[in-house]
Amino acid sequence: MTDEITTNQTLFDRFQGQRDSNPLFYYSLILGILSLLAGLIFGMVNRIASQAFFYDIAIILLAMSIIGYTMTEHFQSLIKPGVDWFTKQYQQWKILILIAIFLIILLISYGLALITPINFLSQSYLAIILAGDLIFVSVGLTMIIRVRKFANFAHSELVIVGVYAGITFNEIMGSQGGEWYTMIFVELIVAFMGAGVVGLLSEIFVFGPLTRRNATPLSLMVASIGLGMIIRQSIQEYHGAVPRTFSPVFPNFFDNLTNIPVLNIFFQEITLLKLPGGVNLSLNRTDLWGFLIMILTIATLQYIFTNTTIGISMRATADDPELAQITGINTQRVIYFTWFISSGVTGMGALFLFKSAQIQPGSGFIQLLLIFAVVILGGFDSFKGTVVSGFIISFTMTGAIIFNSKMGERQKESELIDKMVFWSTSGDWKLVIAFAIIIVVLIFRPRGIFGLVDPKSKL
Amino acid sequence: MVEQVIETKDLNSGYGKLQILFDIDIELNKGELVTIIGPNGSGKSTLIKTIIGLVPAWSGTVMINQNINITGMKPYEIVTSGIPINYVPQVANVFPTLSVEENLKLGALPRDNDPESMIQEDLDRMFGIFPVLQERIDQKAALLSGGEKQMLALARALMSNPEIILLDEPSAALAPILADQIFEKILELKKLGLSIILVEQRATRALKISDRGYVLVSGQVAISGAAKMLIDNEKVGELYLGKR
Repeated sequence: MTDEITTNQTLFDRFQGQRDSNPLFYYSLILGILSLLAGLIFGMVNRIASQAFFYDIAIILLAMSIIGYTMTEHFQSLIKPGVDWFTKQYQQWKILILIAIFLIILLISYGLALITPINFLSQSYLAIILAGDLIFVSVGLTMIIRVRKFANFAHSELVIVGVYAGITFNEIMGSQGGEWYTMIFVELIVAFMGAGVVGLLSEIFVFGPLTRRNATPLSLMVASIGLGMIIRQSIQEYHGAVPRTFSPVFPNFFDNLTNIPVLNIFFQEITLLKLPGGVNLSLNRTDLWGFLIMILTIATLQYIFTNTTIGISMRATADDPELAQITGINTQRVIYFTWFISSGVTGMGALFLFKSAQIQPGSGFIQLLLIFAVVILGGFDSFKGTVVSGFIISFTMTGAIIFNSKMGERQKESELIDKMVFWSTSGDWKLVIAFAIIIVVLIFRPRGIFGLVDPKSKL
Repeated sequence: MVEQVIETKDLNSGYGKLQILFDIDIELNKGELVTIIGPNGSGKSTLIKTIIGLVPAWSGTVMINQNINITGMKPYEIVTSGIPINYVPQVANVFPTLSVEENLKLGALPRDNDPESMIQEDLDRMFGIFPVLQERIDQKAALLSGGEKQMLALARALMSNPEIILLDEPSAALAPILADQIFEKILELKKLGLSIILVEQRATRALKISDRGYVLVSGQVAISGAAKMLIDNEKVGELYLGKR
């Protein structure tokens, strides 16, 4: 690896060198850039539909090239000293460091909000919430990649199953709205079970049998694309393609708790904080609960991983299934457990990712690249990495929105939420910028932020 | 009276359609250290993998303690059903992302009936045999040196309280001085009363500490007998011990 640094290759030479060793990266990047240019040209001559088409193609190709890039030989990381320093500090101070980072971000954005016409504080809040939602739906994929060693493209369908499980459950129960079982805490269990069972079945009927027939990670990945289509179409058969909405409902007694100081932000629907200097921040209880439940879920998973036999068995199975068997671990059962838990958590996260938004059976697939971006940047199989990259991507996208929106024009919060959670078909630069950042990070740190997996192997 | 702890009869096995082992009959007696030597590709590793169930046997039987038939059982079924046997693979024999302590505790997984205090006692016993592991207790196994990894692998297998242990080239990829240390540990284990099957490339070195040996050639037992006899045997010497 060190040879690569010392030789005087230009970036272009190094890129050319990838043509034979890593055609996926090479060709998808070239085609991706060409599509991007095509999109730009069509945009200039006002052919909006063609522009949208080429941008979408470009995004997919660029995402593929990122996956390709992680397979290539790379030079040593330039940001390694910084990461090492941070890791050392983090090991010493743990949670305090994280809280400090949050406070610093909020303080900086408050400062920016004071001196610019844009409400950066509010944007940071939205970015943190979006990061939480993204992390919530991404950790499951991280677990599956770690234990099963393939990229499950049907993961986006687990997301959508989570939401539709909630909707279906309400229909079956004949809900008119507001009954006890429509409460978010009940729906979370429903979404967990729904997505968990679908994930479990996909291992039992698709991925398990394929693996026993010696399927490679690549064929498992292709199978998962097919499985995703089947799940998506099945939902569409049952529910139709008409957009549906899932709105989280909170218990009525929450309204009686709005007098509690500070904590009342969790109980009243919207809290408007008027800060000195004319900066407003409105907090939504659904957002906050989503973030809180995400933290609790990750903490629980972390506890399971480090302190319980099943959790340590999961890590052991991920490390080396054969050795795990010899050690006395029923690896089959561990894999089933992993599918159930990881899919279930994904389903729970989906309720918050799609809170009060219109969704269709295909909505999940649109989120897939974003989820993959989080997982890839996080290093494929690391919890910590997924969390950190969730924040990086969310903040990058939010930054891109601010960059994209006309400076000096304050936009309505609701419009911004729309823009953030759903990609309008195209023309939106936030994803291009987000993915560009990922490419740059991966150039310097090919294993992602906390990656364990050797990018040359697996996937 | 000689008590056989492992006995294989007409064992055939292989990978896919490729047969590796042909009618293998070997036995291991209680308290014995038996070495299996042979050229590369002769099926040494496959033999112990077949015994432990990692490679399915095509035909033949594997008997433990003369009355337990483990043919066709999966490895985790064998270790969790209280059959006192364990296996240390050649490479990838520790869980790299788990700490030393977690590796050892997983080793005790088959003993879910034993109280925590007993397992803790055994943990301390392991640290007695392998002091280096105690110094590294919280470290991830991936960060251990080659020799330390082998020690951890041995200790992990021992944590299941086995009476029989199968070792696949524990000295592979180790510097001679480290290999010597491992051989010393193996001898120590034999003195503790364990019955051991050892697969080795360093044939002379291994035979010196063994009671008996088998020479495997092309998946068949070519020569077998007392270790001393094998070392002195000219044919074995010429072919596998590098003597001229």
